[in-house]
Amino acid sequence: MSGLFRTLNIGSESLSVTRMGVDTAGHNIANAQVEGYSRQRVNVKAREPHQKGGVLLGAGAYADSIDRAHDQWNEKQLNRANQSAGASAARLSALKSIEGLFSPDLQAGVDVEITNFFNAAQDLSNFPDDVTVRTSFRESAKGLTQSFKRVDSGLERERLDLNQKVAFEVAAIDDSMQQIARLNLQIREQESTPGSHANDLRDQRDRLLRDMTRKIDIHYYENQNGMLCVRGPGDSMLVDGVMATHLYVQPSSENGGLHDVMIEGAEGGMDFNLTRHLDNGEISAMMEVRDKVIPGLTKKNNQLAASMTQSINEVHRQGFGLRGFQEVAGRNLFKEPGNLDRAAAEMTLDDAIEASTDAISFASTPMAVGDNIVGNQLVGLKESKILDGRASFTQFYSDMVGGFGSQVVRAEHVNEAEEILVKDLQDRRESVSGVSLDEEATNLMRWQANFAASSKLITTVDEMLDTVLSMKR
Amino acid sequence: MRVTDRHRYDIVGSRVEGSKAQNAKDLETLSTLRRINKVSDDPTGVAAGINIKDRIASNIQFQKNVEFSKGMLERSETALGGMQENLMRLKELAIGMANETYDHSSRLAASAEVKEILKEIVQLGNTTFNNRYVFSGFRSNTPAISMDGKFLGDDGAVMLQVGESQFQQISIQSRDLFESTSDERAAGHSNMIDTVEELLSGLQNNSKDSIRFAIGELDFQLDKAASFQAKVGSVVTGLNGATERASRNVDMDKTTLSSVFDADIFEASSDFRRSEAVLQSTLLASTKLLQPSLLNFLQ
Repeated sequence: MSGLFRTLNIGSESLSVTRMGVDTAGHNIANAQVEGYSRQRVNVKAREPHQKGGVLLGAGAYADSIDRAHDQWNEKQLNRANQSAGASAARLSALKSIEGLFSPDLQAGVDVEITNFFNAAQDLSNFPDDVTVRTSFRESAKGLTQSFKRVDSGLERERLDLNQKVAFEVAAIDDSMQQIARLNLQIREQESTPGSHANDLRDQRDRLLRDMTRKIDIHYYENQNGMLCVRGPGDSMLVDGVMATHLYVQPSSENGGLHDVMIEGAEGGMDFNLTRHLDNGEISAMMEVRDKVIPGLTKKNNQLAASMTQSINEVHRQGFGLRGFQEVAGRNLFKEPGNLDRAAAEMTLDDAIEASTDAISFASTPMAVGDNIVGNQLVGLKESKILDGRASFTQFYSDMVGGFGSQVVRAEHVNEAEEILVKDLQDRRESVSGVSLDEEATNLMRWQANFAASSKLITTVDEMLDTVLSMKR
Repeated sequence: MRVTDRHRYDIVGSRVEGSKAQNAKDLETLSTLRRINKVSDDPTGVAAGINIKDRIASNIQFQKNVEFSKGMLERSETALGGMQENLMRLKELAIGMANETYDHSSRLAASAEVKEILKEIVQLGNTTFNNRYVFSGFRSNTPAISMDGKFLGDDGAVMLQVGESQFQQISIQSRDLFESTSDERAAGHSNMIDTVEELLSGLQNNSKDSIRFAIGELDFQLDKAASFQAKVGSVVTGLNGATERASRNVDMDKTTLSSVFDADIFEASSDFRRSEAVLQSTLLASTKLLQPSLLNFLQ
């Protein structure tokens, strides 16, 4: 008798396994488009056979666990590749937004304004005593100062934007850290029952981790309780099991109030400055552009502005003006910069020039309106190799723009290569963990057949029971 | 390799995106007809372009400068020509009046014409161009000579840039034209206006000797004016060379600039056609790729 009930039990257990299979297929189909989801499989095992009458009799099947298809090695590679890819992508996007400041389409770029200024000087050399020409020379000088200012303030704006982005990213990382710590706890709780795998929570945790690796360089390992420990730059501990520290930004005292990345010290320890230890991921790339690339461009812009201001003034001081200014030399055209590091921002016309075009001094002798000797010397500056003794103003600017452009191109190429690598690894991850609807359809068919067969088993046993019970009559 | 549905959608996504991006880029090239629209399109090209554009603007400016200089020089040349004509007329008059056949009254009558000519010479000496006295050097707002023949200008030489590192003198230093140098004075010559004055007084005083002396002096002044005119002529010739050079440079630079920046229209349009075709076939292939699924056959 017990034998038949045992068989009935095999049937019902098979039905339950079958339903699990259908549920899992359904779960897979439902999550087919979820980013970071790993397909799940019911791990069906045969029960231990029974010894009966000298033979080992099979005892049906049971669902041992539900596993996710997951390749840890591929995941590690992907996370590592993600760090460089994050860095190169952030670098490229930061450089791309600076690029507009030097666009060849600009009608009032520094190069155009330099050309205009010297052409206006030539016009003035042609007509030293013509008021209209003097005014247009003054306007072009003003245009020159504005073009330098525009580049300077544009660079500064990009710098502050990046600074803000760093703060956002750090906040996002901090958020991920807290979530990972929470998930660590939940995963441990769910997995405390033997045989249960917290697949979906692990998927979530992997995804958080993957997002984090794009932003900052980290190492991680899973401890014996299945909890993730994440180490950040400079061997700092970001997440340790259920505990997560905090990352935050703080205005730096050394770097003009721009953000430093700080980590909260563990248990009353000192907070630690991570800034110098960052060397991969989006944040480090943003900081590199913020602290090296942009200041480099700003410096060159200032160098050019300072050099133009000084050399033009030096010539202009030798000259005599018109009318009220025809007997006194020694005037500057631009105000001498108080601070050479801010020459571009501070470049303005001298007050006397601003007040009267008569103060523009093109004559080498007093009271000679037709004298353009100083004007010609000024015109001659255009071709002089003034900067570092090897480049004219325009050449220096073109070197600066060309050099920066090459940086952008290099960043594009690096980014392309990194993204291809990541794409390849993602494809591999997808081929292991992704959901194939065809496959799930096949699974459904399989489990359906199984369901029919298991049901048949039960009806068969039922009939057998009927037969057995009818034997009594 | 196990192909999943997300993977297929990803492929479709990235392929369509890629061919659309290429198509958009080709469209931009075709619609602007420019190969370079951003610095990163070709950094070396952009850097070269900055220098070439600057050179073109400079050379156009040089041409402008030359045009201005030519105007000024032509005006000087005409004035010098006028002076020579006047001096010639004076010489004719003097030669005639030195003749024994004329008496004091005819000489007095001739002196009236000489006076007029004297005024004209002074006026020619004070020729202006764009309100500038062309013979005054740097004192371009003061007349070059006074009525009594004094040179009021200075020795300033107006220079203009007519080519890269090339400055050309466009005003003639005319002190020597209107004043006599110490060597000339030692040789017994006087200045242009004084020469005319001498003729005038010779006519008024009915002095044949003075008139004859003036004839020689007029020759001397004529030579001087002619040599100044020749000087101006050679400067103009030089300028013509400069403007030719400048316009040739502009042409060459524009060609170079165009080869750096402009897209080849045939290449651009064939590139666009191609990327359009690629885009269409990608879209077509994508619908084919996405359709078949086992689920379609499971009804």
